[in-house]
Amino acid sequence: MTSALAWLILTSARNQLRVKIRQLRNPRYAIALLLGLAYFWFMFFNRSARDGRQPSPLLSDTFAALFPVGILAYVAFTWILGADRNALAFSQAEVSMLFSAPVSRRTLVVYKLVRAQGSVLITSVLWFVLFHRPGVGFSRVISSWVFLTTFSLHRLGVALLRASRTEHGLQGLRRNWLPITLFGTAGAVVVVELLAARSRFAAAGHPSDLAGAIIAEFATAPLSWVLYPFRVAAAPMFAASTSAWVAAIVPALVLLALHVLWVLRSDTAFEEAAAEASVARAARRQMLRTRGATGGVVNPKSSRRSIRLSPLGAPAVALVWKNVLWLLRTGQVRGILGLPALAAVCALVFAGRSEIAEVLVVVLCAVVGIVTVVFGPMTMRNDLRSELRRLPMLKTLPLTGREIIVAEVASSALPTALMQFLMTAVGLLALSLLPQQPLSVEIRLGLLIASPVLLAGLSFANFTIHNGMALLFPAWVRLGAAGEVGVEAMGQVMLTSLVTLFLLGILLVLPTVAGAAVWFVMRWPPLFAVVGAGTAAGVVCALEAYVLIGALGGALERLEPMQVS
Amino acid sequence: MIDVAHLTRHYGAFTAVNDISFRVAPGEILGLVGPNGAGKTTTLRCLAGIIAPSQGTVVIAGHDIQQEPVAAKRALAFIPDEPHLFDHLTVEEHLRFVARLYNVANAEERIAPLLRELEIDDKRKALSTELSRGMKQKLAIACGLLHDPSVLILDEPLTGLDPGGMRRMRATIAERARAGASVVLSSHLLTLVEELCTVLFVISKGTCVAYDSLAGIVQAHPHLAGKSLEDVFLSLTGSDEEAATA
Repeated sequence: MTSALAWLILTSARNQLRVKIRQLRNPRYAIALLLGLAYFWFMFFNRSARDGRQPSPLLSDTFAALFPVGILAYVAFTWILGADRNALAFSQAEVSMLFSAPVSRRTLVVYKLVRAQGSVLITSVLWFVLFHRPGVGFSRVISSWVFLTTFSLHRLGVALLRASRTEHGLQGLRRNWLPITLFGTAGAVVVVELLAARSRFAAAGHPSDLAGAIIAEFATAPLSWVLYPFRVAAAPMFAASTSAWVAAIVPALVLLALHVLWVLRSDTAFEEAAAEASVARAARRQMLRTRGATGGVVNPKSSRRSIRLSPLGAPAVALVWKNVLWLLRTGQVRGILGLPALAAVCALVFAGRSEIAEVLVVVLCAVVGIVTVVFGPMTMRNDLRSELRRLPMLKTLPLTGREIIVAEVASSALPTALMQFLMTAVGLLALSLLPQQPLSVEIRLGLLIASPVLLAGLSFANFTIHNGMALLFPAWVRLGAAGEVGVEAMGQVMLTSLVTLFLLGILLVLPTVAGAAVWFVMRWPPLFAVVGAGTAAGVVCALEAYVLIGALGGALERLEPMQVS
Repeated sequence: MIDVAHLTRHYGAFTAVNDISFRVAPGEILGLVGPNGAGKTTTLRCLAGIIAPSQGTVVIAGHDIQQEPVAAKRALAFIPDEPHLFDHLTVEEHLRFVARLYNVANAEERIAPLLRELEIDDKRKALSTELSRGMKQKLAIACGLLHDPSVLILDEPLTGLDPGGMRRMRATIAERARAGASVVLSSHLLTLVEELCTVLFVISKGTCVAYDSLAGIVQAHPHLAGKSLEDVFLSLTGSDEEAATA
C-alpha cells in the first residue's frame, strides 16, 4: 500500500509538471517565465550583480534575535486558537479513496507529510534566493527546508492533539500529556515573566528600545530556556559561516526528528479529524466557487441589513453593491473600521499623558499603511481574483470587460483606501498631540487633504496589478479567497508579492514624477504644495490604472473558462 | 431570434463543434440533443458568449455576439444546469442585482409575481445557502426571466426540481415561447424535449445529424416511423449500435 501512495505522489507531481509545461506553449506564459528567470539570474546568480548586493536587511542581528520570538508567538496562537485545521485536510478524492482503503493512519500521516515536501522545498529555494547573505551558499536551502518542515510538523502535531481532545475528551488529553505539559509549562513561564517585565517594556522611550528590551528579556533564564527550541530551529538560517552552520544544523535536525516522532505517535483520531477538516475545506471551496469572493463566513442574521439598489443606472454598480454587501455580511467592514477606531481611541486616551504611546500610534498607523499596500491585496480579495472562478457567469453579464474590471477593482481598492485614509488621519492626529512637532501644521493639513485622492489612486493601481496578474496568468495566480495557507503556499505568496511590488514600482514612476513636478515647479506654499503634489500623484496613478484596465478588459473578454480551471 | 451560421469551435487539435447552422424564430423552442461529449455545452456556451467560435457567427436578437456582445447579452438569458448563486445575497437581492444589471425599470412590479410563479416567494429573505437544490434552480431561472429576455438558452433546466416544479417549469418555458421568446433547450430528458420543442437539432461528434421537427426527421428517415423519440435519438446518433455491440 505504501508503494501505491508513493506512486500516487510521483504520478500526481509528474502530471502537474506536464500541465505546467503545456501551459508554456502559450507565448504569454513562456515570455513571463523567461523574463522571470532572467531577472532572478541577473539579480541573484550573476556574479557582478551578486557581489555588489547588500545582504537582506531581514538578516540583521536584531531580526535574527527577534525571529524566534515571533515564531514563539505564532506557535502560541496555534496552540490557543487551533486555527490550523488545514494541516489535516485531504482532498475529497483522497478522503473517498484512501480512507476506505486498507491504509493505516500512520501511513496516511506519512503520506500527508511527504506530499507537502515539494512545496516546502520550492519555498526553501525561494528563501535562499531572496534572503541573500554573503559567504553562505546552498546550505541556506537545507536550513530553510529543515525549519519549514519542523514548523509544518508542529502545526500538524497541534492539529492532531486538538483533534484527539475533541474526539476522546479527557482520555485524549491524557494520551498527549507530555507535549501538553511541556508547552503548558512554557506558556505559563512566558506569561509570568512577561508580566513581571512589563515595567521595563513601559520604560522604553523608543520602538527600537522596546525591541532591545524584548531581546534582553528572552536572553535571560527562564525565558531563554523556553526560547531555546525556537532558536535551535531558526539558527541555521542565520548562520554567518559554514562552521557556524554545521554547528547549528545538527540540533535543528534533532528537533526535526523529535517532531517526526511526536506526529507519528499522535495519530489517534486522525482519520475522523482529517475527514472533518477535509469536508470543511471542501465546503469552503464550494462557497468560493459559487460566490467567488473572499474567505469570510456569511452570518445568516446579517441578511436582515441591506443596502438599497436602484434598478436604474450604471449596470456595473450592481457588482460593487454585491461586493459591498459581502464586506458587510462577513464582518470585514469591522476590520476596516475597527483598527483605525482603536488607534484613535488610544491616541485620545493617552493625549498629554504618554509621549511614547502617541509615538507608537503614529508608528502603528504608518506600519499598517505600508503593510496594507504590500499585503492588503492578498487579504482583501473582494474582486476579480475571486470572481474568475465564476467566469461563465461573468461572461454572460451585459457589461464590457472594462466595466467589469473597474467595478471589481473598485470593490477592493476603495475599502482598502478608506482604511489607509483613516489610519493616515489618526496618525496625523497622534502626531499633532506630540509636544514636539516633526511636521508643520500646513504639511499635516496638506497630507490630510491630499491623502484621499493619493491613496485611492495608489490603491486602484495596486489592485489593478493584482487583478491583471490573475487575469493574464490564471494558472499561476491563486484564485478565489484565502485558499491554501501555511508553509505549502508560502513560496507562491512570496513570488506573487515580489512580482506585484516590482510592477507597482514601475507604475509609480510617473505619479512620482508628476508629484515632484508640482512640488518643485509650482513653488507653492507648503499647504498647497503638499495638496497639489499628492493630488497630482494620485490622479496620475488612477489614470494609469484606468489605461491598464482598458487593456485588461479585452483580455477578460478573450479569457475562456478552460484557461481558468 | 437566434441565427447561427457555420459555427465551428476547436480546442487545440480537437474539433468540438463542426460547421453547424440553425435558426430559432420568435416563439420557437429548439431542442438541442445529443450524447455526452457531442458538443452541446460548447454550442450553448458559444450562443451565450462565454466562449468565442473559432469560425462562424452567432446572432442574438439582431446583434452579433462577438461584435456587439453587450447588446446581444442584454437580450438573452442563459440558465446553466448548475446554478451559480451568491452565498451572501438573499433571494430578493439576487433579483435586485439582476434588475440593475439589465436596468429593469419595473423591477418592483415584476419581482413579486415572478417569485410566486416559481413558488419561492416565501423564501425572498433567505440567503441562497439556505435554499434546497431545487429552490436554487428556481432562483436561477427567476434571475434569467426577470428582464424578460427575447432569447432563452436553457441547459438541463429541470435538474433538481421536484415533479410539481418540473410541471410548472415546463409551463413557464412554453409560456415564454408563446410570448415571443426564442428558446434553445438542451436536455437528456427526451420526454421534455418531445413535449416542448417545436424543432430538434441532433448533434453527434460535433456535427449536425438531424435538424427539423420530429415529424420532419421521421419523414426523412422512414425506417424510424412509429418509433419513440428515444429510439429516433439512439438511431440518429449511432448509440443503438454501440449499445448492441456492448
